[in-house]
Amino acid sequence: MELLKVENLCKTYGKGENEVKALDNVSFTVPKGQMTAVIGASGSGKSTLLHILGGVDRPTSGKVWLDGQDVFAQNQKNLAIFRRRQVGLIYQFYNLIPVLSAEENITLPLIMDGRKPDKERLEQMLDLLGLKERRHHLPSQLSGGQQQRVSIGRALFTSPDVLLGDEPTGNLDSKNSMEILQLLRKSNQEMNQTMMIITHDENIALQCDRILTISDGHIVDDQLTGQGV
Amino acid sequence: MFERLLAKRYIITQKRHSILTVCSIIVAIALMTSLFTAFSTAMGCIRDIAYHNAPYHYKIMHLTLQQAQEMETQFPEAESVKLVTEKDYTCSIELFMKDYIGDTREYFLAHGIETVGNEFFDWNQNLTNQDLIDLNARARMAQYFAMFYVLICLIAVMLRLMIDTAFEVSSKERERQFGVLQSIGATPKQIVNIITFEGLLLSAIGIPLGVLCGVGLGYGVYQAVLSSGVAEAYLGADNANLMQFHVSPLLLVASAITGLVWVLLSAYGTGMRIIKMTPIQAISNRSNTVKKVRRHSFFGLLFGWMGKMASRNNRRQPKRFIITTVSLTLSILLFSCFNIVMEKFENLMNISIQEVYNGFTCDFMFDSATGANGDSVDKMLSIGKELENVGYFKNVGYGANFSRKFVYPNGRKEWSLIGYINEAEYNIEYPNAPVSYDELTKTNGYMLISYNPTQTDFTDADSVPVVINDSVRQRLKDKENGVETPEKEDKIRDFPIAYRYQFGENQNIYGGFGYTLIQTLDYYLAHDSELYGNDTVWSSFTCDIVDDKDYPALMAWVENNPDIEMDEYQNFYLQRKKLRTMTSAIEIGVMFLNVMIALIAIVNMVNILSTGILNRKSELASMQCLGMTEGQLYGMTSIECAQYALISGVAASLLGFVIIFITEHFVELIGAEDFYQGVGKISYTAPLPRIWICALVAFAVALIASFIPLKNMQKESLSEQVRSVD
Repeated sequence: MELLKVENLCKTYGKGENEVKALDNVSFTVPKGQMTAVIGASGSGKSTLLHILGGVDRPTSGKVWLDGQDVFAQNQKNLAIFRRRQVGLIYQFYNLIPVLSAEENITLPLIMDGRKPDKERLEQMLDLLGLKERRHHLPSQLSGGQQQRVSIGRALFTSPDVLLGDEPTGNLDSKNSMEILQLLRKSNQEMNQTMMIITHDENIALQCDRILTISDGHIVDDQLTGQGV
Repeated sequence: MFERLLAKRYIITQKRHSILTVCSIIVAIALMTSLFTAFSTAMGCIRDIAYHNAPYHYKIMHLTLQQAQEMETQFPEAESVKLVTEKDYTCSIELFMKDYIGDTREYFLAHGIETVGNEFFDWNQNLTNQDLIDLNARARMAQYFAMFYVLICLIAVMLRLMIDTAFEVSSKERERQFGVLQSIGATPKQIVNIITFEGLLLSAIGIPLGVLCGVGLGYGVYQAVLSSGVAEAYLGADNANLMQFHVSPLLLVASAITGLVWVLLSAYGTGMRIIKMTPIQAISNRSNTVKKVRRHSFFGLLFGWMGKMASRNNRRQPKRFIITTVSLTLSILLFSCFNIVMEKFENLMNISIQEVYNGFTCDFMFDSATGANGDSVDKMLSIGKELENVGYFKNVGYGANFSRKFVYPNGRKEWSLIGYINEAEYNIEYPNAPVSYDELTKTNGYMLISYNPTQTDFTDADSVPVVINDSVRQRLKDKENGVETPEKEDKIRDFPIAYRYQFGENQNIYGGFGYTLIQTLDYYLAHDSELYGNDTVWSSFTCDIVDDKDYPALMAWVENNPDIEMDEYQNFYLQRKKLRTMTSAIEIGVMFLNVMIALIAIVNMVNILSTGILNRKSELASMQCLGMTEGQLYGMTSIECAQYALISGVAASLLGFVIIFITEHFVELIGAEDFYQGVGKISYTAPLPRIWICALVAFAVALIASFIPLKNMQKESLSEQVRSVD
């Protein structure tokens, strides 16, 4: 069953001579529970694609459907609520809120939604992330790997339809990278969480179910790795 | 020299920060220059008024023509020597000096004049001071300037914060770059040089513009004071016409130098702070690193998670938060305190005017020229109409007063007064009367005036019994004429009390006891004119001048009017004008200072809030990526703004209480409670409305300062905003 559908997606920056096509007629679908890696050279349009899928940026043309819903047919407010409830974003540089503790960062999307975090679920999440002892620490008091785990917790805590990772291990050493990947894989398998991850690391890509290769704004290759069921 | 090259490149590439820093320098210098300009203008104004009133430095009087003519040639170093013939046909010499003459006494003694200091020698000290003519003037002006400069220095501390904040913000974002420079071999001195040179380059643009803007601002304020009529209302038309805009080049240079020193100190200080970090600390340091937060906050309780985040955001840079809140608190407090002090000062001035002039709050008081032995009411009315119609006067007050004995409830009979007064007199004397003039006229009763709150004789009475059958004056007159008027039996009439008017403790400046019955002059003419038989009234009239320019014509009119007379003790105008001018000069000065302090606090707040938002651009975008709506974003920012206003408002209120408490105890301690007799105690709640109005204004300004950058940020897509730092 397809969860995410992308149709003729285009994104252009600049005008006239300075016009750059970051995405050029990109179309694909992602079934529920699939873990997809997006690879490509710098400037190929990977991050642009991810930002558009997450409702953070608007396409110049084309459509994105998530769970049958036209993402960009919504107004600003509903788009914010869409990001809050249906998407989980993980960045390379974590983008944690420096004034909030690890626990507060994780629960922030839920709190913004006016909901009370489920304590049991929070404990499970902290346990899964290995952050129980660090729950009250501020981002500045955590290591890079720990900060990225907080960021993953934040993305997963609302049980979004899709989790989008923009080089989630790009800023980490190999040991931490492996740990983060295992964590993502675990949540993909245990919670049937749909994921799309941008990466430059071939090993990480090979551990995903599918690899999309982007070059100059086009999808040039789309392969199943055999990792998935 | 790579420092210079880098400094230039930073200025060009970091346009936003360069503009912000230059703007901060311009505002700081402009505020200071306008203060200097205000000082020059005030001094110039004092000089012009002094020159207008007496166009000489020294005047030697009571000379014969021969003495005067001899003296005319005795002062070759003077710019002008003028021989004047006075009204009493004596001669005077008016000296206008060109240069500094040293000690005045010694100078004139050397010229054989020994009258310095006595009534034959007029020393126009306001003018000699302003023109720095003698030793005394130099000392006095140095004293004035020193006092002014102390004030400037106090304000300068706050102004420097503005420049400091701008440099701090600009350098904070470049810490990494400085770290990289250090890591590839730049020495700490070179790093400090880059920032200092940057400061120097920015000063080259900011300081001249700041000085220009300051002069412009000063001129704008001067024009506003003139065109709004404030100058005329406060200083009087004559003096307002003399008010000229003055700019002292020396003070402009002082302003520019002070500004340059601040900028260099701020730049140097910022550089020193950066080089205290190791290169790796600088490289890895993120501008928004937070090391400690308060878990629970009052705003969190009040506004939930948005309040909690707003509270934590504001405390990210505790030093800047404290500085801004303190400067805002102080400006709000100073504004409110100045306001109350000025109000009390005005009261005190009014009371002192009343005390000096036996309770008269008018410019002039006239007597009827024929009224010494009593005028008829008709005569009084005709003079009153004449004064009202001539065009020179306003608030012409007069009335028919009759002395009669009031019969007290215990049978005692006391001389008191029944007064029938016109509308102007009624409104001036009884501003808080429970009834208007017209309504009282229609009432078939009288207003009982009680001068002392402790009197209770007629508290429960419906009317006051009054002996009305004969006047003492008539019987005395008869006696003088050799006619013995037989003692008549008292004829008592009840005067119904329709209203009561109680003088408050502070209003009863006479400190007297007793009662007066008051009705309107219109009522007298309609109902009571027959009541007092042939009794006459003492005609006296109080009035104010309509236009200061009319004073000479008015005085000529009075002198030539056979119906009225006024001796010098009844002309309060000049003294009142002098007091009014003094009060208003202080008021204008205080108002200007208030505006300055408020501006400094507001600019600091605007600076800190807008740069705070810009620095958090990526973070705020991240929150929106997580699902924060625009409404929530603006809500959180509003709470951040409210925090400044609320904390400053509460702190100013508490400090206000403390100041009033200390003042009260100090007054008690020194045994000066009599002071309250005049102006009344300051209520603990008096500053509150002013403080909270100021806090509201601060909140509104803070909202504007935050929403503008937020709105601009929203023009970019979220992904662009997120990327802006990463």
